[in-house]
Amino acid sequence: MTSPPADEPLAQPAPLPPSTPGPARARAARARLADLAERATRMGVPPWRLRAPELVLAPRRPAWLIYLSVLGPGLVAASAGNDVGGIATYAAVGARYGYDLLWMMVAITIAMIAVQEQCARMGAVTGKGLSDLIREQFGPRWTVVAMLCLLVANGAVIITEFVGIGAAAELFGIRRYLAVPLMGALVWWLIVWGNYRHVERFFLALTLAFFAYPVAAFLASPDWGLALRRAIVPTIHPEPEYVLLFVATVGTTITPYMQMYQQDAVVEKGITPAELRFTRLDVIAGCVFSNLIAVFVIIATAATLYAAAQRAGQAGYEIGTAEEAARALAPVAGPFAAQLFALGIYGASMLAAGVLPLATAFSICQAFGWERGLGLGFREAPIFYGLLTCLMAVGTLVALIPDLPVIRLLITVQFVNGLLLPVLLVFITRMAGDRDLMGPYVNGPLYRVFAWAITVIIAALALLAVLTSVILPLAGLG
Amino acid sequence: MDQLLSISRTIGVPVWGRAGERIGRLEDAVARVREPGDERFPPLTGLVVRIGGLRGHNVFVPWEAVREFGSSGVRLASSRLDLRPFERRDGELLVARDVLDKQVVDVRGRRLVRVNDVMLAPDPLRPGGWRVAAADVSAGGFLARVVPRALADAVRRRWPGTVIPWDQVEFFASDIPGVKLRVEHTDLAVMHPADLANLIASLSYKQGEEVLAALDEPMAADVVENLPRELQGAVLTTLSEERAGDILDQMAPDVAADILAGLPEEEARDLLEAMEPAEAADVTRLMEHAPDTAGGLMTTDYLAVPASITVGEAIERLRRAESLPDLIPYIYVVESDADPKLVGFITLRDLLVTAPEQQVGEIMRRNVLSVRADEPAQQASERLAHYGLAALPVVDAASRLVGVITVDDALDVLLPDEWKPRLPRVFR
Repeated sequence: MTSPPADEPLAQPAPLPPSTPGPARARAARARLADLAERATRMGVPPWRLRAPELVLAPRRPAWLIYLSVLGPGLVAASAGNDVGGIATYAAVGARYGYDLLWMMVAITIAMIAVQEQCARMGAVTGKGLSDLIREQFGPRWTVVAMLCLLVANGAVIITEFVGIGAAAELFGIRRYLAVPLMGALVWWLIVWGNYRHVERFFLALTLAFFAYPVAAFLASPDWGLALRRAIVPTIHPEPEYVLLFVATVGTTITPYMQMYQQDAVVEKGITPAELRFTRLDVIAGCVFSNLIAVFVIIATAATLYAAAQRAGQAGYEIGTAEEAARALAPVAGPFAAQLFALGIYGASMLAAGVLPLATAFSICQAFGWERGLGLGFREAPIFYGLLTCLMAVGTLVALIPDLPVIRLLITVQFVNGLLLPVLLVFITRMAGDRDLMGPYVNGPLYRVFAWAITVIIAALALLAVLTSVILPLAGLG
Repeated sequence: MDQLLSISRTIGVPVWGRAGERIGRLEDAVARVREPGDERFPPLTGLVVRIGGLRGHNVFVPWEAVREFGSSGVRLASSRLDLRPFERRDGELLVARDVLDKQVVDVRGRRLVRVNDVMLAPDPLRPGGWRVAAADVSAGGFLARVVPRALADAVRRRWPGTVIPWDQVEFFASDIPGVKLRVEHTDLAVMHPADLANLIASLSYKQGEEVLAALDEPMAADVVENLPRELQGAVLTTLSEERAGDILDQMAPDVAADILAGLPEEEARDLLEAMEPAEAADVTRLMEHAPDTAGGLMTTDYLAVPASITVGEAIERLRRAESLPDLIPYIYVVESDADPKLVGFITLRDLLVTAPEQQVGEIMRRNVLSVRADEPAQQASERLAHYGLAALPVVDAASRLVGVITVDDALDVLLPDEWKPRLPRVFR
């Protein structure tokens, strides 16, 4: 705030560094800066406060940092798919059908990229979350439908997380009747009172145990040529179990909550259409990366459990318990396969058991306009906290039921997710193709056909699975 | 309450012609927003009617042609319609399409709410006319729209919810695609900047942009200062460069510097160039320092006078200053304007109680504490806290005064993260 006399000498602006983009632009910038310096002195800015203007033009942040700052939502969203239910389903697929369903992972990855990309784009263009948009575009009734789908799908997945905690505990020799309530209470306490973000990293680190699958896959010396052929050429078994596992895999890979997460995270990060290029990269990288892990789980189980069953003259192996699922890791961990597996599912389950109830309660409150968020207290956001607590309590209670067919339950939940997915996909595909909403970022004609094809195919598969695995057996025809 | 008509109950009702023949069904109601004379409750100027079955289209019926308007149906005064497809004109609001289910600001309640229903009221000035009266944001209003139509009235009676008078509602023009609708948001300016910042944090970036655009620069600057750090840059980059520059000019230079330092180089440069030269110079100087040093923490928003001038001259300088810092705990004394070596400090009180002829150098206190700009921010903050200072001057290697760390910025460093205001950020 000092105001020296105007006749103070002024340091001449230093020349610009050669890295300035575009000669014309640089000239203009230099002229503007010289002018800036001159006016500043006339206005009484003391010379010692006038920085040499080259600082203004000096490169400040490399481009890859921008990528990193946008990177994230896609990767996290996709990786979240590899939870207990995911691993169990992939393991079941590998054990039952060997490499025969690998082609499906390729197809699912492509579909997943398209679905997630649409959500990311909607988030960037509208600046609104998925449940927000559904409410605004389709009105209250459809919102209730979408939210019920989400509640059922997520509620079911939350149950699997607690089942996962129980299974992990039993692999370590701890009774789940003790471990599940204890861990449930711990997670609840951490979210509501403590700081979940501090422990999140710890649980995330535990899930690194799943990286044992790629290693196990290599050590089990699978038939790579056959795996590759099966990944490209579809192999179809016309039987109910095949369709059911297919839909379950779709459900666990393209989980409904991932779309919510993807779009909300894009909004939350304030990503605008200008940054969509980076976000798309992030989505693709995330989908490919997480599904690569899934592929390795399938290969590892195919090379161990399935191969063993084949040698024993059976068509395939049906995994029943977590212990059996862990056996695929034997090539890596030998006698400690169960412990390694337990560590991984413990980390993944604890992670999701916290994040998922939180995200579900948040999305539902958001759609109906109820107060939400951990920044508010119990009294200010009773529905939010009530929903959060309820979801966790139900998960804990179900996981305590004696003699749970663990793997079967996990797969059934993914199957339910696969059934509910088409409902959300209809909303997503319609909105992403709405020119009024998306403006120039609307799905192009080809993309539109592709997106609808995905939606219709998944819906058809879901219906077929319900018919073959639920209705016909119930009618006594299966 | 029975005077009010809910828009969700009227949408879809049959529309009859003069002779009682069915013409179509009601699609939407058109209101004129913010016409001259500043009407707080927009009058309905016409209806949008859908004619002819599945492949039909929407036509506009001006209010003059409407004889009766209610939740059981609409009667027109004539059977002749203008059959050209309806096209919305600037300044027209489609009540159901644009407001229903959208988020609006409850100005009095300082919060963001979702409109479950819009209530219309008879126009006291225009017999037979209607105006937009209120927004229903209650759970009852929501439920009434979920249950079958036949039950809706019962639900409404059972849960008569809160409505917000329309003059306390601010809706967002940016939610309405493809139409120029000027919403002035003059009412938002009555809200506290911290509340507005909270609001913007939960709005979409387009809506946030709209809110910021409606505020004058000093207010906008206050609002941006109150935003969470990671949003500040994002918000500024959505504005025009000129406008963003004007807002940055009005901000505390240390906050402006922090924001610009977090932006990609190109964008930061453009914004700096859009700023006033004097402010840009301040901000640039601050950006030079690493964020975790005293220099990165300091602001250049401080007062300093040379020791050689008189108290009267010093007071004169304060008077002439274009803007003053929010807080003036100390006025620093430097060797001279050309050589701002820190030699002491005085307080505002010293200036007031001393004879104007006395030299600043004579009355100043010489035992001034300072930190070097390259010292760690943590250490500087601790020193400030230890000596109970409201501000701590920062000097360069030649002990020239370059900035000041104020107690609020020091607190930011010293407080554990959990104590800072937390926004509901679920996914992090």
